[in-house]
Amino acid sequence: MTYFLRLFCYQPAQVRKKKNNMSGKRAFLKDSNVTFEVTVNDGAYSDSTMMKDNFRPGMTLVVEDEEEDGGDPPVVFLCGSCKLPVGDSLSWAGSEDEQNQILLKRVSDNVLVGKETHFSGTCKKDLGCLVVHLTCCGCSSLLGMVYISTPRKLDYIRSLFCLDVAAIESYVLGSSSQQVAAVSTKQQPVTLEYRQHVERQLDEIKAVTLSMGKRLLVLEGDQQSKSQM
Amino acid sequence: MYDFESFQSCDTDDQKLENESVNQAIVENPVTFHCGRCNTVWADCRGICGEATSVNSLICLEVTQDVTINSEREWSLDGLFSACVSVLPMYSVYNTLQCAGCLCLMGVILYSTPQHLSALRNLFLLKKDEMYCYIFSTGQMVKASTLNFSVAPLGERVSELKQLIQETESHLSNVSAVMDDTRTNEATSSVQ
Repeated sequence: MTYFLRLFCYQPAQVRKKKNNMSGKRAFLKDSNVTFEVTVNDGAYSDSTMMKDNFRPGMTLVVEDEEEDGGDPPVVFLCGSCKLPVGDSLSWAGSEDEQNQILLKRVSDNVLVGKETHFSGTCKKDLGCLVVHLTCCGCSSLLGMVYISTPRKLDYIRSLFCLDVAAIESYVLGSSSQQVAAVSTKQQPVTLEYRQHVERQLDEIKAVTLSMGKRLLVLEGDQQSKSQM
Repeated sequence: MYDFESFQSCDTDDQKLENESVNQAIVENPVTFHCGRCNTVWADCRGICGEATSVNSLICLEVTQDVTINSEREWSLDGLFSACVSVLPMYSVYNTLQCAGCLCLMGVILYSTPQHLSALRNLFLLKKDEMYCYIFSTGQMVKASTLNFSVAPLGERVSELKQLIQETESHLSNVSAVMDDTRTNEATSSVQ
C-alpha cells in the first residue's frame, strides 16, 4: 500500500503557514470561537502532480499552482479496518503527538458518536476529562473520541474530533500513480482539473477582450465629438 | 491527436450547462472514488478526465495501486461483460480491472475498439455502478451513479472567443483608420 502516508508527515497548509510566526515548538491558534493547540512537525511534503500537467507536450498553457497558497494537497482519512472515509484535511484542527491523535473540526457520516459518556483516565494528561467514543459505522471499530468536558488546560481540544492515528489510514489526493503503460502523453485526454484551468484562462481572455472593446468605444466616442467641434 | 469529444457529442444544451456546473463543483471540492464493496480507494478527482456515458464508466488517467490490471486480454462481441452485469462497447478487446481489496471486477482498459470509441482506448474505465464517492466539502459518501462527470466540448467556447477577438480587432482597425484620417486633415489644415 504505497499511497498511505505516515500521518505524522502530513501537515496541512493552514497549520504549516503559521510556522514562521511561532517562537517555540507549539503555538496556540485562535479560530473563531475554538482555540486549539497545534504541534509543528518539520517533515515537509511536496506534491508533483501539477508539474506533470504543466509540462504536457504540445501545450504551453501555464497552470496556476493550486498549492501555491494552499500548501499540501487534501487528504482523506479512512478507517484502518474497513477503509470507510471518516474525515478529511479540509476540517483539520491540529494534532496531538503525545497521544498520537489528529484533531478534526468535522467528521464524515460514517463516524458514530457514542451516547455513553466515559471518564477518561488513559494517560496523565487527560485525566479528569469526560469523553464520548467515536466508532466506525462500517465495522464498529474504535476510532477516537470527543472531549465533552475538560479542565482549563485542555480547553483547546474540547468539542473537536480526536482520531487515533493508529486506528486510521490516509490517502493523499493526487497520489494515484498507476497509469496504463505504453501510452504517449499526446494521446491522453486532459483531466477535469486541467480543463478547469483552461476554462478559467478562456474566461480571463474574454474579460480582457470585452474591456478592450469598451475602451475602444469610448475612444471612438471621444474622436467623434472632437471632429464635430 | 484523437478527438476526445466525438463520443459525447449528443449532449443537449441543457445537459451541457448542468455538466459545467458539476465539473466546476468537482474541481473545487475534492472527491475520492471508492469500491462500493470494500471501500478501497480506486482513484481521485485529480486523475479523472470525464465520463463515458455509453459504458457507464469514469475515464481515469491514473488510479491507485489497489487497482489490478489482469494481463489476459478478453473480447466481447455482444457488449456484455463476462460474469458481470455491465455494459461494454460492442466489438472490443480489453483487459479487465480488479479491486485488490475484494477482487471484484471494477472496469476495463480497452485495447481494440471500433472507430467511434478510439478515444477511450488505453485509459482506465471504472464502472460507476458499484463505486462510491467521498465528497470532501460535505464529508458525505454518495453513489457515483448520482453524479455526472461528463464534460462539455471546449471547441465551442474557443470559437466564440475567437469571434469576439476578431470583432474587437476589426473595431480597432476602424477606429485607428478614423483617427489617422483626422490626423491627416488636421495636418493639412495647419499647413494651409
